[in-house]
Amino acid sequence: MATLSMPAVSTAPVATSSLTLAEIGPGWVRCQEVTAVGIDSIRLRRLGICPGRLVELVGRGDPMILNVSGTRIGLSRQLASFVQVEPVAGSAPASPR
Amino acid sequence: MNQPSAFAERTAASPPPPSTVLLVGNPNVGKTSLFNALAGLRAKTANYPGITVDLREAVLPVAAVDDDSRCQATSDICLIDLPGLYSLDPASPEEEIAARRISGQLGGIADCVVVVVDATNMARTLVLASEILELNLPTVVAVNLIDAAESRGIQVQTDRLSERLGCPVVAVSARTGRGLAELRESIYQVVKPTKPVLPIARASCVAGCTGCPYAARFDWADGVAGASTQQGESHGVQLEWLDRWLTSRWVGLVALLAVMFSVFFLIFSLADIPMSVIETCFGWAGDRIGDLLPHQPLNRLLWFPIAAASSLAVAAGAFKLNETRWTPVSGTLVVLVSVLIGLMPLEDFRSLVIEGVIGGIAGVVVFLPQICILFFFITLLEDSGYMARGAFVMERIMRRVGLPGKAFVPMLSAHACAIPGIMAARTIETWRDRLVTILVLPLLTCSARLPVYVMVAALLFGDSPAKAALMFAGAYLLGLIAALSTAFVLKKTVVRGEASPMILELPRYRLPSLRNAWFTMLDRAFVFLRQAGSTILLISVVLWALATYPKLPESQDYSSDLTRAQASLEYSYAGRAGRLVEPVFAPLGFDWKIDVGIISSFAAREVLVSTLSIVYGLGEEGADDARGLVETLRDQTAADGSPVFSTATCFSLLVFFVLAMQCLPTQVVTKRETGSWKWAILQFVYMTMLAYVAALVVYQTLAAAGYDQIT
Repeated sequence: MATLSMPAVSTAPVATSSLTLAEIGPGWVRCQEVTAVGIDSIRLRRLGICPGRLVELVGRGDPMILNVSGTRIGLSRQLASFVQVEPVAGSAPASPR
Repeated sequence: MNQPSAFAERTAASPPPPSTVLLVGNPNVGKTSLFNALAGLRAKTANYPGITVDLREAVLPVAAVDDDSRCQATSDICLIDLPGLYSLDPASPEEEIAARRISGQLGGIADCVVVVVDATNMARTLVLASEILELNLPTVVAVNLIDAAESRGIQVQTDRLSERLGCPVVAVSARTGRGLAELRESIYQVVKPTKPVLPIARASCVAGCTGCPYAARFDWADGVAGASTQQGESHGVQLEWLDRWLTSRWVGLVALLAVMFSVFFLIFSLADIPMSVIETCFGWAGDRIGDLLPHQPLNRLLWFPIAAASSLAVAAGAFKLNETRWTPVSGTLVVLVSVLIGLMPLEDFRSLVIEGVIGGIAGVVVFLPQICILFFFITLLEDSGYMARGAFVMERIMRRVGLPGKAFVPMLSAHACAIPGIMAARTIETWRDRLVTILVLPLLTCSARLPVYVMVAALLFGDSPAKAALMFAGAYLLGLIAALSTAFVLKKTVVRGEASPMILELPRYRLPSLRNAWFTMLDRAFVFLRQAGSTILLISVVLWALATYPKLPESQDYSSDLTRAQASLEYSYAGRAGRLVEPVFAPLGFDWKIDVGIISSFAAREVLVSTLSIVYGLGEEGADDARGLVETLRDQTAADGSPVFSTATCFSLLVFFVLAMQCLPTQVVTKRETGSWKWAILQFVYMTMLAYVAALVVYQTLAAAGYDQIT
C-alpha cells in the first residue's frame, strides 16, 4: 500500500520559505517548525507533526487530511497554519503521484 | 485526587495480592478488544475514588505454556485497561489519568506494563512504547492486529523487535485470539513470584536529543519498525476510494445521515420486543411481591424487624452498586429511614414497594434494550474506523456553533437517552468542548419523551397519522436546533472560546469484532443498571413519598377507589405543590393537574402520562389505554367551560417537554461527569427557562389566534 511507505529521507529541501501547512497543495512536505503553543503544540507533535518529519497532504479542505507515518490524520486549517513546512524536492520516491 | 490509601487497602486486603498489569496503547490499536479478549466476562469497572474516569479491570490467571499441564505454574494478575493515549504528555483528563497511573502517581507502580502497538502501523504506535520503555518498568510489547498486517503483506519479526526494544514482544490478534496464550505466558514470566530484580536500565531511546523530543522518538520508531517489519505483497482490500467519498463534504454528510438513520431504525425496531418483555416482567414481579406481602396487619413486633431489615438490605445493595462509602451521616440517615419504613402501615409499605421501588426502577430500566442496541452498533462503527470519519465530516458544521466534531457520537447516543450520551462525551479531549456538549445534550429528544409526544399527537391529530408524523419530526428538529443554538450562545457567554481545533486520527478501516461489541455493550448496560439501582431508586422513593404524604384524613368517604386516589394525590405534597405553582404555569395554559404531572415527571419524563391518568381519574391502568386517556383528557373543561387540553395547551405542553430538563437522573450524571453541581444547576435553570419562555410564546400566540377554545 502506497501510503504506508515513507519517502527516502535523503531528498534535499529546495528553498527555505515560510509556507504553512494551510497554504500548500497535495504532496510531501517536511515540517520545519511548529509555532503552536501549549496543548495544541502537544496535540500536533505527539501525532508526528514535529520539526524534521515528513508529512503528506492527501486531501485539501478544512479540515484537511494528512498522511503522517502511514496514518491518516484529520487536521483543521487553523492548526495547520501553525506548522511551517518546506517542499520536498522531486516529491517522495516511494509515494504515488 | 491523591488517593493512594484506597489502593493500599485494595492490595492489602487479600494475602497474595494479584500483580497489577497495565494495558497501555494508542487509541485505535485495538487495546480494548485485547482487554475484552483476555478478560471476557471477568471485567468490571474499577472506580478510583476522586476521579471520574472509569477504568476497567479484571483478575485473571496467567500461566506458563507447558507440555505437562500438571506442573503448570499460574499466577493471578489484575489487568487494568487504561484509556488510550498518544504520549505521556496528556491532552485530555482520561489521558492524564492513564499517564499518572503508568508513572505510579496514582495507585503505585505497576508490576508489568503491556504496551499494545498496531502491526499495520508499527512506526507510529512504537512512539508511545519508547516513552514507556524509558520508565524502566517491566514491559511486554503486544503487536496487535497481526492478522490485518499479514493480509496487507506486512511481516513483523518479533525476535528482532524484541532485541531492539529490550523487552519481550508477542504478536497477537485480539479478533481471532491468536497469540493470546503466548501473551499470557510473557506476562507470567514478568510477574512470576521468583521474579528477578528489574531488568537493567535500558539505554534511552532519544539520548542526546536537543531538539524536539517527539521528532527524535518518531525517527527512532521509524528505525525500529523498518528493521523489524517487511513490506511484502499486499492482499488487503484497498479502501482509498471509500475513504475519499466518506470524508468528502457532501457525500460524506449524506453517508453519515444514512448511517445514523439506520442505527435508529434498528434501535426502534429491535428494542420493541425486549422493552415490552421488561415491562411485563416488572409488572409480574410487582404482582408477585404484592401477593407475598401479608394482607392482614401482622404482629408489629414481628413485622418491624422484617421491614426495617429489608429496607436496610436494599440501601446496602444500592450503596454497594454505586460504590458509595458509608459515612456517619449517610449511615444514620439509612438507619433512620429504615426505622421509619419499619413503622409504616402495611398499606403504605405495599405502595412503596410496588409503586415507588419497582415502578420507579421499571420506568427507567425499560430503556435498557435501546441503550444496549445503541452501544452495540456504536462499538461496531467505532471499531470499523467509521466513527472518526463521521466526526471529521461533522467538524465543518459543528465548529460553527462551538462544538467539536467528536460531539456527534454523544449527540447520537443522546437521542436514545441523555445518560449514555453524557457518558460518551468522555471521548472529547478538551474540558471546554466536553462541558458544552454535556450542557446541550439533554435538549435532544430522548426516548423517554416519546410517550409524551404520543399522547399529545393523539390529542391533536388522533385522526391524521401524517400530521402526527410531521409533529414528531418537528419536535425532533426543535430539540436539535435548540441544542445547536444553545451551544452557540454558550460559546459567546458562559463557556467562552472556540471549540479546540481538530486533530484526529482517522484509523484504518477494519472488520469489527462482534465479541468486542458484545462485551462493551454488557459493560455499558451494567453502568446504566448501577445508576438505576442506586440514584434512580432514591429519586423514585422520594417522589413516591411526595405523591403519597400527607395522607387523607380517615374520616371522609369516597364513592370509589378512583376518586379516593384522585383526592389523596391532590392532598399530597405533590398535589399541593401543583396548586402552589399553578399561577406560574397558568400563562402556559397548564392547570394544576398538569403541574402535578410536570413535578412527578422529574423521575422520568414518561411518568407524566401515568400521573395525568391518575389526576384525571382513570387510575394507573388508564395510562395503558391511550384511547381512554385521550378521550378523558379531551372532555376535561376548566371552570369557565373551555377545554383544558385545547390546541394551544397541547402545543405549549409539547414545546415545554421538548425543551425542559425534566430528568433528575440526567442531572446526577451531569454532576458526576462535570465534577460539580454548578453545571447541573446551570443546565436545569437554562433549560427550564428556555422551555418556559418558548411554551409561553407558543401558548399566547395560539391563544391570541383563538386556538385556546378548540381541541
